[in-house]
Amino acid sequence: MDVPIEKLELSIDERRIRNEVGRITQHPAVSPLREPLVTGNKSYSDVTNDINVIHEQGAGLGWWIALAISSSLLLIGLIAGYLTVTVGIGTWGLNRTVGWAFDITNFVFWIGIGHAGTFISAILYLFNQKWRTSINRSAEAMTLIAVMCAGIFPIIHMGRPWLFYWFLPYPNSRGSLWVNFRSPLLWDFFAISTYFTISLVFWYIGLLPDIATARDRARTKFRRKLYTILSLGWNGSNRTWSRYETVYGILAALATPLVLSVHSIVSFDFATSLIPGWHSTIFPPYFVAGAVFSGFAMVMTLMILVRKVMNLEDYITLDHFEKMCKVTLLTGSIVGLAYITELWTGFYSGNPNEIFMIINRVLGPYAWAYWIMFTFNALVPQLFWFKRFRRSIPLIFVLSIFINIGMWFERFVIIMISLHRDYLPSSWTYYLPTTVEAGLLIGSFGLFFTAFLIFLRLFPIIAASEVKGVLKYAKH
Amino acid sequence: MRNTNNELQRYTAAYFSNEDDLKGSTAEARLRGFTIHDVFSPFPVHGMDEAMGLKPSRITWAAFAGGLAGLVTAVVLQIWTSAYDWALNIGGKPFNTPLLFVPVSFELTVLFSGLTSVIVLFYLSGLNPFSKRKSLPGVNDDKFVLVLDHSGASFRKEAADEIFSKYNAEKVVEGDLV
Amino acid sequence: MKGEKLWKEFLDTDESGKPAAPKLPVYGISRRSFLSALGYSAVGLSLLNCRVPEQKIVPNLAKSPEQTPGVANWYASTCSGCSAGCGTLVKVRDGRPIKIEGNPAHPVSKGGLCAVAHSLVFSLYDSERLKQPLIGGQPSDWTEVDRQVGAKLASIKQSRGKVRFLSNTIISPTSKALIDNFLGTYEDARHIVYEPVSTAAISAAHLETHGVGSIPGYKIQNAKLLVSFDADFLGTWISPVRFTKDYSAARDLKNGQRSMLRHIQYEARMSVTGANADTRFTTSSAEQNEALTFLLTALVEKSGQSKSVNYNLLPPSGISPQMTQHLETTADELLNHRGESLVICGSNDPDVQLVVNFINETLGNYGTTIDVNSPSPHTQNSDGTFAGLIEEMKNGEVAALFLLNVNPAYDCYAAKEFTEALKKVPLKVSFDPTLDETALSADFVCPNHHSLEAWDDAETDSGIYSFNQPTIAPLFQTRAYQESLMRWSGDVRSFYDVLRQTWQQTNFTKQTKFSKFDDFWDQSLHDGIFADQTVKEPVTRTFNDKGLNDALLRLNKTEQSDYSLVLYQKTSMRDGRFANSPWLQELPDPITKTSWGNYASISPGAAEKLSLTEGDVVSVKKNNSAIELPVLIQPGQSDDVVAVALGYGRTHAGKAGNGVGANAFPFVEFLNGTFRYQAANIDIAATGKRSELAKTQIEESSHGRPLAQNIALSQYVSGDHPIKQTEFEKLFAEHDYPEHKWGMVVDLSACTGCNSCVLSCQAENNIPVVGKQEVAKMRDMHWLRVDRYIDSNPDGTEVTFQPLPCMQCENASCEMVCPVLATVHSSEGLNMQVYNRCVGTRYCANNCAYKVRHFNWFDYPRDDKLANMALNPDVTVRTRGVMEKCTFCVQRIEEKKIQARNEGRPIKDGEIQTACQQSCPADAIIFGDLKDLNSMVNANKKSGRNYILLEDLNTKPAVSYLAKVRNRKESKEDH
Repeated sequence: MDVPIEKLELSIDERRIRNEVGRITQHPAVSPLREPLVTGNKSYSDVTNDINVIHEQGAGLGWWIALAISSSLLLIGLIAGYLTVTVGIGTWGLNRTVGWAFDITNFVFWIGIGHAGTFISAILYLFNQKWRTSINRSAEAMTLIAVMCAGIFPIIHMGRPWLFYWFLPYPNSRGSLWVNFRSPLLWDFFAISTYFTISLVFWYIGLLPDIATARDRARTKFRRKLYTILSLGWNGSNRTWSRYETVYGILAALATPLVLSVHSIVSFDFATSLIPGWHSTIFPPYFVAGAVFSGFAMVMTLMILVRKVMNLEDYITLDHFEKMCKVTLLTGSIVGLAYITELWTGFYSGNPNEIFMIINRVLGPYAWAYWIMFTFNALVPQLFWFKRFRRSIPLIFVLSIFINIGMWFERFVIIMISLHRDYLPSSWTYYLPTTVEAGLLIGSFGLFFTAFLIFLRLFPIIAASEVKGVLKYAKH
Repeated sequence: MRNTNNELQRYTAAYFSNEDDLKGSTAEARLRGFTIHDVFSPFPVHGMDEAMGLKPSRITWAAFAGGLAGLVTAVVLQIWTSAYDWALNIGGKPFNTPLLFVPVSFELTVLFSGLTSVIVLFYLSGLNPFSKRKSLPGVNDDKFVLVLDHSGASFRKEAADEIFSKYNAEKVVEGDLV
Repeated sequence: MKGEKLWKEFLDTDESGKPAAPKLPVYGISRRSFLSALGYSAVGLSLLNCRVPEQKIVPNLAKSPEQTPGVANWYASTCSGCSAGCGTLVKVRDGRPIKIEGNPAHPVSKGGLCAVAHSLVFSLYDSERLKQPLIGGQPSDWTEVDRQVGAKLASIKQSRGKVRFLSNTIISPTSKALIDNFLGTYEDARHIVYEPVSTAAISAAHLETHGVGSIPGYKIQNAKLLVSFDADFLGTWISPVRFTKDYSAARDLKNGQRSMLRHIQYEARMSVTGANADTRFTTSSAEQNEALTFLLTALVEKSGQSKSVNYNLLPPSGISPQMTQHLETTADELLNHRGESLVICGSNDPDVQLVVNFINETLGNYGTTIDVNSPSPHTQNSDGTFAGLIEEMKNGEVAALFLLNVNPAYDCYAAKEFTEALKKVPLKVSFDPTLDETALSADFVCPNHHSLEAWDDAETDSGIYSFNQPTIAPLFQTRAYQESLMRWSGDVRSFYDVLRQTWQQTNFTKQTKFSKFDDFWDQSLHDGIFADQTVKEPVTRTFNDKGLNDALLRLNKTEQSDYSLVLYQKTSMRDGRFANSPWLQELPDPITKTSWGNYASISPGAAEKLSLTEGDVVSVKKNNSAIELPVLIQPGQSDDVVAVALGYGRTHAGKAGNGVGANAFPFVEFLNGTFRYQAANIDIAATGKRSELAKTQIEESSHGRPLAQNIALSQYVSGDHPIKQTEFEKLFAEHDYPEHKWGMVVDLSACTGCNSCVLSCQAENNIPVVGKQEVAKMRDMHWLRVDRYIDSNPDGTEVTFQPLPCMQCENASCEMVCPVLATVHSSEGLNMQVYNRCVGTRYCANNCAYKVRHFNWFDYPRDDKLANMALNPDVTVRTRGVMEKCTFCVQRIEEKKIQARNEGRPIKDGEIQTACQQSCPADAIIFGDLKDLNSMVNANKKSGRNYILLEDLNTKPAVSYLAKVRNRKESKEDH
């Protein structure tokens, strides 16, 4: 059998093999007009290096300063949390009419932030949006951290937070007293824990190949050990890759309805109740759009910082921002439409309580909050109709922060303004937050940024294996 | 890796610099009757499954089964606890309120399905925190490796080398599978 | 072991007559000691086997046969909160009095109680009460006190010094006789009765017109038309509980009546009474006196009587034309109801009261709605005598002064003068149970028992005698003031013996039912009252009209002023005697919904004129008196009036009462022999400071929402009114309530908004007090609140009250949202709150349309162990972080269910009474079983006035309301 292959006669078999190989190795048709997703003409090795160097090299002064600031904020939150748990919810500004204000506002806000990560990693994956690869890892990390920030609030807002496990339907000594499966809060509990679990798994699965890379490159004992455990023995086998891709697809397919369901369920907290301003069927889509909206704003804020500080301009390009701006514009417009619809249905209902609620929102004592919300969420994103604005990093940065403020106020408006004046004028009150509540809000940002900074130093912040997969996106 | 006779198995690993060569060589090797031990790459290469002749994974079915189990668990748990085990009059509603059980049912379906598929992935691929398995050098960076098994009767070194060189293999290593 | 020690000491005191020497620790009383001490007293109302109360203590080994641990005993007694003398039932659990309720058998209060009465339990367990007598401010013991006081009295007796006994109104005939007896042994001794908030002018006027120097009996129940000028008779005036009972009975529409008493109120500030009036007119302070003289003139003219009214003396009408018209109409109405009308006035000016007497005489009301033959024994005070006492003291004439239940150093019109003059008295003995402003300067403080520890009797109405019986052994080394007086005059008997002897000699002889005194005594104690059935010949009194012209002359000189100060009492704080009760402090005022402190109440017009907003601190000045108070804007008040509540600004009341609000007593004036609670020409100026008011309701208006619904009597009679009940489509099968379904009807027409129910609920259900700052944050914990809405309509400012307990909704929105099933529905239709399951998400409170759920924001202080004795052991004390709310007094329901089951009978309708219902002086709350088709509650739910609050929400509350009916049918004033 020393005859070289090419000299063999082209038997039928041989022809079949050639055809088959040719078919398999054929490239899909790709438009030559495509802009490359990653600029700078990177090789696979460059990608590996660029991404891994970030967490391998010693942290810069900027990172330490950022950590110092964010962990100080976190400390404020810890003190506020300590006071809340030891002294009582009385340290907050709530009263017998306004039972929720900052707490649930923060909760819904953070849950909403989380939605962008899942949207980017799951929905854009299903829609085959290759540009997601540069940002999905950090966006997913943001999701996880945001859900953690969010999860703190329903626990700490409880009068007796140490009993939070009573939400679980477990057989107990009360013989067996179960839980109320009709309560939206319980739905929340299930939705958020599922959301967190699936997001964590999704993120971790995506991280496995990159952890393996980090393991291969690790120079310190700690990192080698850490990554060896975390990589679970990943070896890049195609058999694994094959299953991996299947599972990734399944998770993306599961996370897609999940991302829609979580904020819908969060909105049920309000929609299923009877308070005017809460009791509204528009809430699920309105909340989901708002969540994606605020989440993208937060992703943009973060990415602008990360890109700048970590020199990732080649990976996170202006095109990425332009696309995110478009999503923001779309969701922002949906949110704006929802605001107007809310006003309309309020008046159209003919129900005096609903009409009063609308008037109280727009002109009442907390009208300023409503107008911050309306301006920042419905009007400000309209600037993204212009390409010039969609490609201006400083402007995007400022607007994304505005949108985040606006979206926080949206939840505040819905929760607080609806509650403080409901059916019986006798129980109408005002609400003023206390320093403890402000501390918890500040602390949640502290936790968010601290955790994100640690993430930056510990894991590859861009999905290297996925970027490698789309490196030739525009080359073929 | 040891075969049933407890003999060391031989392998030949060819390193390529891009996914196209890997895919071509793999397809060619398989079609020419080589036993492909495995293929290693830094990212999932499109069409590789076909090149290797892998059948579509059945994890999808596992995920479906998991989801179904989650749904059944949720529905049974909710109806049983709310309407049978300790039925309570909550807000004047009937004991069994299926509509209100939808959210939790959905969430548990998703949770079970997702976790099942991941657990099955880990199990099938031998991924676990205690695994000492290492990657071939460069596989997680920029190397694409085709590993042919010598054990099959079809292994012919020359033919293999020919395929490797046709697809610009950077290096070819021969050794024992451990 | 502390209990045993107490026991020993107590025995020693009792048997040897010597006071026990060692001091008692404040918290050294255990439950066991109460148990063992219980044999001390009384006969249980709930028990048939009445036995003679012993003055000896029975050791715990021989348990009192009355006592079943865990089962409450009820003892009939008399409220000592004010001189009205309402009948009470004291609930004693395991030896501790824990709640005071109204005695339905008592002819004066008929089971009703006011807020103050409830707070007596709290004052019993006030750890700031004196624990032993004080000599010169230093703790001492009774032997020493008796020795020193005895010596001093002996020398006074020798030197024939003046002895003065200053007390509040004493309605106990036995004690009054005992005091007189004591004073009788001295050459120049007088008993002076002093009330800081006086109604002496009524007595004075009646002395002039009828020769009876006391307050006559007002028979509201006999009247068809009641016209009140500034008399807050449903709030604080004379005997509010009794008046409320009579008033609501005369206006009751519950049993199919089609007519009711009509009530017209003329007043300068908005009072509870004015809020309830069918027609209310705001008079300016300048108009107040003239309105009455004008009314008198109009009546005399219209009725064609001449009498001795000198027309020339009547002032040219300085009252507004509008007011003139109102008064003319009122005069017409009054003349239509001759002999069945009643005109009363809250002024303490004898001249004004004289005019009122003339009006009533002109209308022929004496003998029908006013009875001078059975005068009320209360308020025997004479303001002039008290003023005379100060003079005597100033001149150094008084050798000994005894002070009982009075605090002139705080509440007298010339407190400083009094305190100064007091220094000149060589022997000052105070019987105050606490070291208050006056007791502070006493040489000897001989703390009297709390009324729940003491024996006494009371003549609450002429011929009606009731008991004050002890319900607990004295907690501290206190002694009944009667016994102190007896010791000092060498009498070694106990007051209990004196009481029995007196009754044997007096009341026992007035009846024929019992031949043995012991039986008579037991029965009277059991009932709590003894009614003297002997018929007295009515004395015909001639009406003496001589004083009228002089009075009119004096009234003619009404001062014109920009702002007048009107001093009034709040239904909770009254004259400030019980300022140390946090319950009363926290109880919101029915009208202003403000707790913890007083304020300068001004009209919206005045606020605009002075550019003041609510919470701005103003200084109110007249002559040398000045106080700073936050402003409260009160619709319905006259523009020239600044109203300030008395009873605040105590300096030595105790932890809870000190420094709350400002003392307005210095503005009281002494004029023409009486105290005046109105001061003309005051200065009011902003200070630039601000002070937050602790309001429990900040929104005044109902915003036109149909919440507390109002209809006119004519509408009710014709059935042409908007009150209706809608039947909603059922979306799913309803649950069964196999045995009971508890329900409640609240008659808004009866409810006067007095807030007694709120305190009754607080006492029954261990509701914590949260303090001023927390109330200001709207975190009051009252399970039952009384909403009040102030709405302006063409008839003027209209105030409506709406008590709001938990609605116990059948489709409870709170239950749906609780994740942990901490609030669920019972098979008896109750919305239950399971405290130990609650994790405190507050979702239920948010989703409650009625906002009746209350969250425990903190662990509210329960560190005063003595105060904890007042806790009801049947109700869980809630911890921090859980939700709580009205339970329909589920513990009371269960108690009666058990009782009925033990007796093998069904529960009787009306047997179960919620705490709020029990104390309601207006009988506005009806509770019962909706499954019982013949129950009162069902009957009332069928009334045409029945409606459900926020019916549209389809929450199906078990509580419904009967719309308020205002009797405003009379002719012209209908707009």
